[in-house]
Amino acid sequence: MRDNIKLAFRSIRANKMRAMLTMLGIIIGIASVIAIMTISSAMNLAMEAQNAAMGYNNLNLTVEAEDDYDASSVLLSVPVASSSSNQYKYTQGMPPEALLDMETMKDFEQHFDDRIKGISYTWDTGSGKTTLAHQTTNVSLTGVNAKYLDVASFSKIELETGRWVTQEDVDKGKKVAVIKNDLAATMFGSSDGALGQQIDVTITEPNVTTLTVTIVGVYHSVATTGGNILTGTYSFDFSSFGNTRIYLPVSTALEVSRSTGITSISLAGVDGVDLAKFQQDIENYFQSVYTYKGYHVLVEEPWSSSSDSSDNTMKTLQTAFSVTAAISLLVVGIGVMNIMMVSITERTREIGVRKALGAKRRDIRMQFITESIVLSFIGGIIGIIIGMVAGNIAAHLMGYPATASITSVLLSFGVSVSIGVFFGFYPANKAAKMNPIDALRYE
Amino acid sequence: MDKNEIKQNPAPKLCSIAASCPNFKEAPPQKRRSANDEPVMDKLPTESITGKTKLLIEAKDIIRSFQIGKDETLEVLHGINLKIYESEFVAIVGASGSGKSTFMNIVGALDRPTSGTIMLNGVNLEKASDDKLSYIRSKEIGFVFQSYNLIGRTTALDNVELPMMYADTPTSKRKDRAMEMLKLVGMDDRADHMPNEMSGGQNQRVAIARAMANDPKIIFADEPTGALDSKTGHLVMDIFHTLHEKQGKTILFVTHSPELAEECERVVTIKDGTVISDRRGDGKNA
Repeated sequence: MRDNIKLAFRSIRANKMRAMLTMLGIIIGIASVIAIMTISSAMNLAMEAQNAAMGYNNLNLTVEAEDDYDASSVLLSVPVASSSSNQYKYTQGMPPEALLDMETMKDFEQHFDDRIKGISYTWDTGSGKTTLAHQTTNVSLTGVNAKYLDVASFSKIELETGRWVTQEDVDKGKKVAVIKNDLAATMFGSSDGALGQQIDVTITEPNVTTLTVTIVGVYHSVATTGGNILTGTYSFDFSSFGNTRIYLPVSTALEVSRSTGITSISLAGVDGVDLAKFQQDIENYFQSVYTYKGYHVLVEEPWSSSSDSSDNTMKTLQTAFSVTAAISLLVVGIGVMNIMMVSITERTREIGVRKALGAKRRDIRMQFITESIVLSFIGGIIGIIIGMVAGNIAAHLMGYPATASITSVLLSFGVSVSIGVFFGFYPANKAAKMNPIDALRYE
Repeated sequence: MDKNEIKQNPAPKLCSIAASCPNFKEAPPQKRRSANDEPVMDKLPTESITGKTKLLIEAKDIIRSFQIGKDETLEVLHGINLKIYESEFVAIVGASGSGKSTFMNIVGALDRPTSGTIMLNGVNLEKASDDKLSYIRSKEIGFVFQSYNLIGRTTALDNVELPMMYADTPTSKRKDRAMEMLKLVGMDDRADHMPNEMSGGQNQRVAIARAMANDPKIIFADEPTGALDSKTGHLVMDIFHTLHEKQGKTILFVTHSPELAEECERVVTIKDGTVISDRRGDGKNA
């Protein structure tokens, strides 16, 4: 084997120009494959990151009445008018036992800790009013937790000044609020001026309640510039149309609306999570822990349809890439085969001499296959290096993150060696089967 | 007489041994032959004419024909019978196209006869597989060609190592053996030279060293002096004599030159695909 490798290098050195041209073919072929794979995997990464930012990794959990359970009849049977006996009035039309309490959610978080990137409990109290110095503004109240802002996709808002709701606020049910910058400007002149001020918020549902909260932070909304580059979908926040949203600690929001639990949770999976399986696992989890009759926890993928279509686009692109790669590798292989055919024809006499000196078929075959492998192996290595550099430069120019895929490198090594073996075999075998006398006489 | 000749040829040391050929002195007086001699097939000897008795090669009724065109065949050898004994130095002479090279290729396990049998050191060649023939060429036969046929861009040393590679000689032993062989032909100081950096005679000496690499019983030399001037030719010839006398190699030597042929123990003449004479050589400078 060592002898064969030595022979191969000698032969390649002897025909530097020709070997280099052949290698150039292999280099370009492998480099383009690697470059394409690098760009494609960079695009994938970018897309995944974008999906995460757009909430494509999100799941919404909602407590819902079973289809075969006549929830409406339950609701209808409740005497709505009688406020004193209507406990459901405080719980968005559900029995309090059906709600997900904070204890249950803590266990849930722990159970799926490795797959949850961020989680947010919200409780919408419905619309209300805030009044200061005879100015009345319609507002909607949303109870949130400390992690709400960690997941960018939950809401397109940014903290402008002050602080967000903390875990301590939630734990202690503090009466603090984060308000929008235009509300702060209207009521206090500036965002900074609003900090530390107290406002009264009056809600009418379920009972007329007035809550005095201290402003700890001011946010502003971020223009929705997102959307998927491939599918062109955009998200809008319809829920607060016409109203200015005020964020409270979720516990405070529950208290003000006299509820014991929540009905709606949003969570974001970690990057690259298998969302379909995650969804299934969560459903299974709640099937075993959530036992309230007639209700179940619905787990939904808010972006499933658009995510699917972008997946499909990506798959189509990748298929096109693979076909292109396969074709260029085939061309490379034919190039190797061609040069090996030339090489053995040119060295027919040498083959004759080697046979006369005792070389068996196997020896000759191995010599030429080794030569072909060495040729494609060297070309392959150079091609991989060039391909990675070129691919990453291209990805960088297109604004995608740089990647180095070990799989594609190993694959290319394998492919280039296979090209050497596969396309070197026929010429090598032809050389091996030569009649020594004919080969010796060849001029 | 021999010694005078050596002084005129500043050749490697070993040629001093090569120059003496005791056999030809005992050669029976025979008429010199000329090209006009009639074939004497009925007078061909059936017993060993050199006195050597260990049969090494036995060719029986060797016929070789070639396909030329679709239905036409050309018979080149018409049933050659020849026995070669161990340690004989046999010259095979004949005009171009006489079939001597074709015959040599069959005896040298490079080609197969169309019919007939050929035994080489107890192995039936026409029945052996291609790889078996390769093995025989590797172990039993050393080839020396008219055009040297050294592998280009490869040093003399590597060329001599080549047959050992195919004989699966351990790498560690190859170099020493190759140097030893180069020394034998007086080329050890050119071990790292490429074929194109050496003269024809030097190339041929390296080729002889290569033929000797696996210590074969038989050396087939197909017009080894054909491309050399007569002085260099004699020098190469002397090497063959040395190998024959000192190492007891069996040498089959195809040549055009009657002068060189007569130096050999035994001269076999082939004409038109048939052996027409088989006799002892007249000796050097006879």
